[in-house]
Amino acid sequence: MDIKLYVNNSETNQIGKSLTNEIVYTGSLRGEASVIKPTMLVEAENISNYNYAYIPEFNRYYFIKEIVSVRTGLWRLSLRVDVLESFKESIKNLAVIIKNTEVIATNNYMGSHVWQTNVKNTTTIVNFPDGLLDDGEFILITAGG
Amino acid sequence: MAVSDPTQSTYFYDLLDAVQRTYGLGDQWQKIAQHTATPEEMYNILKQTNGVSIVTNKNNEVVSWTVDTTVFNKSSSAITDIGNTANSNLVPATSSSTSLTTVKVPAYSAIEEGEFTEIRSGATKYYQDASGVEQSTNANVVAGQVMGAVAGAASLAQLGFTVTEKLYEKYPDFFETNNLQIFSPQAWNEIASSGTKFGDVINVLFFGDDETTEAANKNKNSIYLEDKALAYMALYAASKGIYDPDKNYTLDSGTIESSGVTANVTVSPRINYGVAKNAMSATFSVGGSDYNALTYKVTFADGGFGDIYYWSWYDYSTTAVSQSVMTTREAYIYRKYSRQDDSHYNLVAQSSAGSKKPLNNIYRPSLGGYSILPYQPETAFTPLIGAARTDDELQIKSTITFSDGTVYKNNNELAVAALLANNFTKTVGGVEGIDKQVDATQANVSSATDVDSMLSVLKNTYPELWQNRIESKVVQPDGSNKTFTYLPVPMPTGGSGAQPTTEGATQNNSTLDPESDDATDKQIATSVQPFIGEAVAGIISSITPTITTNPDPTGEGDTPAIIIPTGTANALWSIYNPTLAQVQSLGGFLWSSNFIDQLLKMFTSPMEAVISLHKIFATPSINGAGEIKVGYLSTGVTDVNLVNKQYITVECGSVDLPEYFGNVLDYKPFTNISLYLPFIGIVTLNTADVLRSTISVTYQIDVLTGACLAQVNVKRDASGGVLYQYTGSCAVEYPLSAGTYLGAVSNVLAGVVSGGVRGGSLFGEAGLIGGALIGGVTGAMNGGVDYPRSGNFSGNAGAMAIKKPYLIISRPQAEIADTFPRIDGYPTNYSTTVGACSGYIEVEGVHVENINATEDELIEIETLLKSGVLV
Repeated sequence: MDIKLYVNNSETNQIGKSLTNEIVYTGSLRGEASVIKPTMLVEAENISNYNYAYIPEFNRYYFIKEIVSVRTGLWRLSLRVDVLESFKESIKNLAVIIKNTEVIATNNYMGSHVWQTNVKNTTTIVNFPDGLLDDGEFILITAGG
Repeated sequence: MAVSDPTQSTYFYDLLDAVQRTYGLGDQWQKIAQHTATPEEMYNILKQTNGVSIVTNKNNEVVSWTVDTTVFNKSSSAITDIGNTANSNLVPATSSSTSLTTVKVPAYSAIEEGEFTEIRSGATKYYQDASGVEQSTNANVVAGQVMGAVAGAASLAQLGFTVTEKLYEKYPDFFETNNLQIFSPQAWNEIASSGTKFGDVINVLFFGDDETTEAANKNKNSIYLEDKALAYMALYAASKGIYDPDKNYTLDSGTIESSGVTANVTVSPRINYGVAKNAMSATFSVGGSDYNALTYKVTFADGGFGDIYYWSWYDYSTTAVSQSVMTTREAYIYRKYSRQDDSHYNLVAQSSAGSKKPLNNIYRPSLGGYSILPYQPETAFTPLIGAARTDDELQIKSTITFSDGTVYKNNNELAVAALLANNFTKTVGGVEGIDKQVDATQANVSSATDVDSMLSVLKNTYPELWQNRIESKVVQPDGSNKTFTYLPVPMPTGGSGAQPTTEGATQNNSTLDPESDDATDKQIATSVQPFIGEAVAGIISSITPTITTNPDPTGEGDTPAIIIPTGTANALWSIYNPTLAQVQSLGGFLWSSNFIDQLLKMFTSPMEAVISLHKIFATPSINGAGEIKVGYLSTGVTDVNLVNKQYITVECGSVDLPEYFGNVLDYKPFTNISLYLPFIGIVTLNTADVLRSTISVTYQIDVLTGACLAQVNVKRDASGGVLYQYTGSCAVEYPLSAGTYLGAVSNVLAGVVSGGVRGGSLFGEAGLIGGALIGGVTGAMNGGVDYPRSGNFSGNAGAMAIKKPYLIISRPQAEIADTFPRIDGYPTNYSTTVGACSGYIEVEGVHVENINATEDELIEIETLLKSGVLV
């Protein structure tokens, strides 16, 4: 079956990865193969620079977990499915309630560990413009009107 | 709305001052002062200089360097009268709005032959001289940020549109940040910087003092908006349809389907006028029953206004029901009738339930008689609907076809009648509340598909903006320089920061004097947008509706009015306000032998005639002057002020208390607010009560006893009242005898021993530490507990203390990581789809469904979403 190898420079938790240096090989599954964690044998000169794969037959994208040189020109790839890339369009349609966000609907008034302070504080004095008299006024109260 | 001080000029020396305060006069300062720093060195020095900040857009490009002069010169908040702001949540925090100056930061170094040459300043103002030749000068501008909505309204004003309050009645979130941002996130990130909870802000420049050129002075009070921001707003507004030219379609013939019967209708030419929105309902009574008469305001071709009345009436003799559309100027009754003789028609009002009552004073043609209101002329009519109705209650579910082929389906009988009666012209395009300015030039934006192409269109249409641009070259972290171009736009002054209106700001008036009150009243364009119920809903279908599930975040209500009692029993006592000299004269008289002899005939002790002598620290209410009388005996001490009111009020003024951080740190347990009250002490206020408000303190003082009541009025969201009241005593007693002296001393000692039980809450509420209020709070190591700051300040002790109230605000020092939005994200609790997000998100809740994946994969998807993903 075909296997496409890529160089992935995106974060592993990126939905919609930036994949470059695509190259297509023909590989064979090694024994019984899991769709989620397949192991494939690939004949190629050198594929050690690749870290990502796509198997069209499985319709899934994979992280390359391990590359083992079986012999000259034969490589064994251990793969693990990348669900975020494999199902990215469906995932984007999911309705969610987000609790932490970088861009959308940010809220500065909800509790979070991001609001860090040190042990010091600052003191600000705000004076009111007026007040009572600095010098008092005598008040004399006598009996009789 | 604007958040900078436009009176400040750019001072490179402010930057040097800031550098000096941080580094001293060492190597860093010398490199900046002597312009010998490489761009990389300069960036690193300034980035760590206290008071100097960089402003970046959302792409992390440095847009400007600013010096916060309030770090060194404490200035009052730029925000005033917060209490009367309708929504205090929209008042920006001061730490992001302190007075800033755009610093003439050395923007780039010209390297020639391996050496650094002159490092020039950043901002340059361009203009045309009398000969039309482009000139340039150093620009004295002040950096600032405005809410996206303000930039949007300013843009529209420059583009030849007005924005009125009507826009927000129907589309309150037209300029809401998410709506602006989602429109084109990538382009948005180039023009916007992250703001507070209320959204991103747009970087602008305010023109400071510039006496170098007349041209520069002309635009003295303009704001300068980045050119891409102007183009972005133009593109956004165009997508909403404001640029659509008025399209008028005339209904001169149409098809009405009524109860399954189709009839051709010909409407005779009538006065053309548009129908304004918002039907007004009026009720009237006939024979004891109430009916609704729906009216629409209309504008006639000659500019006059009138009302349309709609009636439907029932003909008892023919059982035909007709409709009538009448105006206050001319009445045209369009009737459906089954016979030519109309003498038996009785006009009735038809209630919604279908019952029909005859109306009084209805003009009946051919019978002469009384006129009706509205007046109906004796003119020939054109049949409205030719077919007879089939039931007692006419129900029209009509479709109307306009000459352009547009079909409206409308259940509204009135709408149908109005349309037909008035030879209706339909106008499409536009957004209600955004109208075209008179004598303004609107660009042809039909070819603009993105910001760059819109920018080209605007350059061609408004070359004068670029002729008067300001260019700012700003050094970037990598040492490169990026040039930002700012264009003069008129500053909107009406409405609020989130819903601004363009009062006084027009395309031809970019010289806005903020101190002038020449701003015109709300101007509505002469073209009236038609609005008939559901018919217009389809025109504005592209605007994202707002679904509000949370209540209005503003308070309301006021405390009852304060009524001070009046009246004194001045037959039993007299109250004087003597001067010190007069008191001494009185003393001399009291202890004279003549006085004592006389007084002993009435009193056991002369001191019984003198009830009290004390000082209060307020000006009593005086009404005239007279002689002090003691026990009805004249003392000879004359011209003494006579106090005529027992209770007086002392206003201590008000202060605004905006947020500082604009986030959680403004509130408990992080920030604590205390209030010092003269003659009472220091009391603790609930931070959540008083933030975002205008606080005023009023003292009510009993002149007779010295009792005082301090009332703390908190006004927020244009409502509020006295939230805190504290009692004390502002009288300093003077001993008149051994007894009175001992009494005064014992009162003082009692106050000291009690440790502050009197005079309000001196031991404030304990703050909440840890997870009780805010989950996972760390770092709030000193903000949780209120420590008593004073004891009892009544009477004699208070006289030695400060006489003006003041607030003590204890704030934490933030240590928020710059990159937390990307790594941890802001907190939120927001419902959306994953695809509508961008950047980092962590999901609280999700149902992973409709995905063709194995169970383990589905579980992993949910796990990853909840642990954080990048979109």
